[in-house]
Amino acid sequence: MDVFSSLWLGLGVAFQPINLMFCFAGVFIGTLIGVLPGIGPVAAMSLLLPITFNITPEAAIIMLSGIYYGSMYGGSTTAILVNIPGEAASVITCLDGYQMARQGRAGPALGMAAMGSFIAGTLAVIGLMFLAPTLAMFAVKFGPAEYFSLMVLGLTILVWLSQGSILKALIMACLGVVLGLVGIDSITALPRLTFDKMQLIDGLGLVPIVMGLFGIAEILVNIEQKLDRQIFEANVKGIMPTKKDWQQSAGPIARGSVLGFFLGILPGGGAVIASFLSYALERKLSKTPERFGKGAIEGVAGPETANNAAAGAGFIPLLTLGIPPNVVMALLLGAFIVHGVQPGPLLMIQQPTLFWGVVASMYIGNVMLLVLNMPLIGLWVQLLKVPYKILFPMILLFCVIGAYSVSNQVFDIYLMLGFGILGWLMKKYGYEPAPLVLAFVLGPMLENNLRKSLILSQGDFMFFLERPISATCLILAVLLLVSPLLPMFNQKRRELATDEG
Amino acid sequence: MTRLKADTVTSVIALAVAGYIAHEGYALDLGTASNPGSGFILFWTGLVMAGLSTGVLIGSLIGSGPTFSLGSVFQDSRWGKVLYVVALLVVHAALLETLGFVITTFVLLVVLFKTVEPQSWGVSLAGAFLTTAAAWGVFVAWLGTQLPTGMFEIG
Repeated sequence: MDVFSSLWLGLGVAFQPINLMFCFAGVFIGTLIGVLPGIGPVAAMSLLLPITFNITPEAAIIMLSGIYYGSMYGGSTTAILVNIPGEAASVITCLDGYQMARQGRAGPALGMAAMGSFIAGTLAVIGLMFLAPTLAMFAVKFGPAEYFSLMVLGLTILVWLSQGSILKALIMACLGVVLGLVGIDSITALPRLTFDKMQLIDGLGLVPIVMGLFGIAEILVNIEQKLDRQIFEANVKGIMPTKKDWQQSAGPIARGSVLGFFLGILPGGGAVIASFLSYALERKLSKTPERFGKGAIEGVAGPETANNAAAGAGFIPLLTLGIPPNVVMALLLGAFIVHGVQPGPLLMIQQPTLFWGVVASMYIGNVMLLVLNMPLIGLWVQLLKVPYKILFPMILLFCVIGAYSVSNQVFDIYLMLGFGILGWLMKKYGYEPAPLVLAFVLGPMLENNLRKSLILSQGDFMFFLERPISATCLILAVLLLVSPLLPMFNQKRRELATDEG
Repeated sequence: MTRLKADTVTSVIALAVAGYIAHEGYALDLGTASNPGSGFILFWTGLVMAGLSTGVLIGSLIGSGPTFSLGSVFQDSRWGKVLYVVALLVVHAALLETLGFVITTFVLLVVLFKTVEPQSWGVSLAGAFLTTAAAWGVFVAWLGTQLPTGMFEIG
């Protein structure tokens, strides 16, 4: 089946009323949580994961995907109007977006962010559609050594891009691997680190851990400090950008789409890095770089385009290799597994309706987002005026419901609270949660592929270096880990360092 | 008295955790390189983590990089509110299955609204009622999530 026949099949799935409804729900919730500071796509997806248990895998993945790329759209609204990023990928949009709002140009800034996001989102899906089958065919030849090394590289990139100390990020990654191994060993059936607790026999749940580290910890940080939000009070008028705005933004949108797409594919990469790099690129290419930070529309168009392109491209390694490139995709991998689907090179052969249905739904979702964002900006502005002291008890309640409803166990609420306190302390002492969560998801797969490789090679560790792809990944990982020792590379790393959460 | 550096304390804790992990891995069964056992990865991950923690510990002791004291992160913070909210959530979880979702959630929300960032009784009661009703409507009635009804079988 060629790509277009497959897409036609996917459109048939995506246009089913139930899938359309969940697609809309996903992009709407995604925009909502993107708009609201204090709850990101990771926490929202983990909250809603349990409620997808009763629906088809197609509808579940369509909705959860919609939350992710929807949040990229919504994040810009808060950044432009309130100067607080709704989610991490919109941090850089604050610089010029808020300045535009202060100059009475909030409308064009929001409009350009939405249009740029739409263009990039659509281009990323087209890229995904054409690149995924090729990559999947290539990935069929991957053995356990390649998978192991690729996962090591993905984790290393995420660690390398962590803020602050690489040693601390590596400690978190090690802890994540260990937490992922709690429960019965799938090969020997021996319980590991279960402390004779029945609740731990099946391992630790992804949802309580993610909700604790990202949801509860964030709320605890906000409760600790009084939030003082400056809401942009003026009415937002004239959302459509002018001809001059378009002329200035065309280049940044084109470059942001390409840059974001390729950064999104890279393991460990993601929307946050893409937006920062796009901003740096546009500033460097601009004939008037002094305008940046003072309300240059290119500073909104480029990053907002790049983060949406990266969000779309992030699905490629997950769907074709079964390897999540970032924490959001790790959560989506959890959703696939919960629904009995194993993402990887065989997904589009064994589950074509699911694969192409999800891809097609992204086209529809991007159109929905454009329709949703342009006229509903006024509603989002009103929503931003709801004080956090009213919002936080509701977010806490949703976290409790989310943790409990995974397996109807109060134990999971305690687990979530424990990880919430841990996440709060980790933020204080400079330990990042993102490497822990990605390693938690990859831990069992890492172990499985390492053990298989060692059995196949009869204990020869050179096996990993004798295979070209595996060797390349491992050498890259080692170079990345060694690079902070060189001052020039360390400076670059610190410039790029972001918190993916 | 010398103030404890944050990195010194956290790295010692990480070192202890790493030691425990390595010990557990060793106790389980390391196997061999050609046939790794259940404890193989645990043991080696524990050792790597111990090495990394030692690196952070040495860095904090010789003073390379920025350091701050263990307690400084709590200065000017409302950490008491954080512990209070966590304690409320623990009590809520403990009573959830006995009293049911509706009652415990309503009470939890009233207390949160009224005490963390104090609101008027009207706002607290209305906010708690509307939030509980909305959560029940969406999660239980619409999405079919099973939440405990408790001994009074409400919800």
